[in-house]
Amino acid sequence: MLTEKFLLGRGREDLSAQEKQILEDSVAEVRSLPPRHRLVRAGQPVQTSTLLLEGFICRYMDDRDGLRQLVAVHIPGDFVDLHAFPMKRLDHDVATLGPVKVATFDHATLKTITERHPHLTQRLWFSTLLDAAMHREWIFRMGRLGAEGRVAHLFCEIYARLAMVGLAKDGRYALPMTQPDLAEACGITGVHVNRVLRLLRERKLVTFRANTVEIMDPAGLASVGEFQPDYLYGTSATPAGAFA
Amino acid sequence: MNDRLKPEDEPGVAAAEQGQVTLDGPNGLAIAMTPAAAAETGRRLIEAARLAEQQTPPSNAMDGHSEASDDV
Repeated sequence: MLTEKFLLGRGREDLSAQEKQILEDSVAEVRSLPPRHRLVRAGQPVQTSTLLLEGFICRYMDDRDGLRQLVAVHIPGDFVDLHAFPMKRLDHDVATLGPVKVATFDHATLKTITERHPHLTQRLWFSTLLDAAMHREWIFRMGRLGAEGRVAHLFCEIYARLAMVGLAKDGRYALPMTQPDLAEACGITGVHVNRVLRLLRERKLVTFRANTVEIMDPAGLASVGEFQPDYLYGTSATPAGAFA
Repeated sequence: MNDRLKPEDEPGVAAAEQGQVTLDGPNGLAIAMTPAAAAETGRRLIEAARLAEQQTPPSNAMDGHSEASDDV
């Protein structure tokens, strides 16, 4: 099933078999996209929304000098731009990080779902509220944490989210991000990221090598990043609790 | 919440890394500068600290939250 990771670890079991099938049957197209490919440009009219099936996607904004800030990272199971369904445009760009596979949904089909299936509509709404919760956490991370904390928090968050959809375990996961990507997500320079990664490695908290994150001390890393997974709204069965 | 608005009394940590000066924390501070910018910032910080030491700290009523009673 293409849509099997949607809300996995976050109450997917609340969806009926019929609702899961409706979502599956609503997929208009499945596309494979290369790394560093822009899917959506800010301000452009949007008539489809994208469910990420495989790989990583980011949302970003560039300042007037072209310097980039990543404002969100998406993993499989995320509805990347469901916001565009009611808004019809985005205020930021969306691009792939590594190679991805996505499923697209025509807005006309989503409109039919909202008219006929209120519970499924509520769950779609829930998924956009999850994005809002994560945005609030990212604001906290950027506003209150130092460089080490920001990187630690990001590694913890991505681990917890990937664990929910079965793509990370034992503190280890693949992350197709470069040190400059981490810098753009954490609001620091690439050199600063390099220094932070060394410090975190020396403290035996986490390593990031060859696109692989290995968390050696989940509780210690969570402490540095002031990470508490509550804002991810995972079900109790998900391993995000490893950070508690 | 008001306590959080107090100026930090722990100094930040400065380090040299690959030709840049990084300055970390506290309170969400995380920046990198060229050596020249860092040196000039250091001079300006010392001068500002000298002036601040001669000034009177604000009372609690000056923190903009004195009328709030939400206890957050």
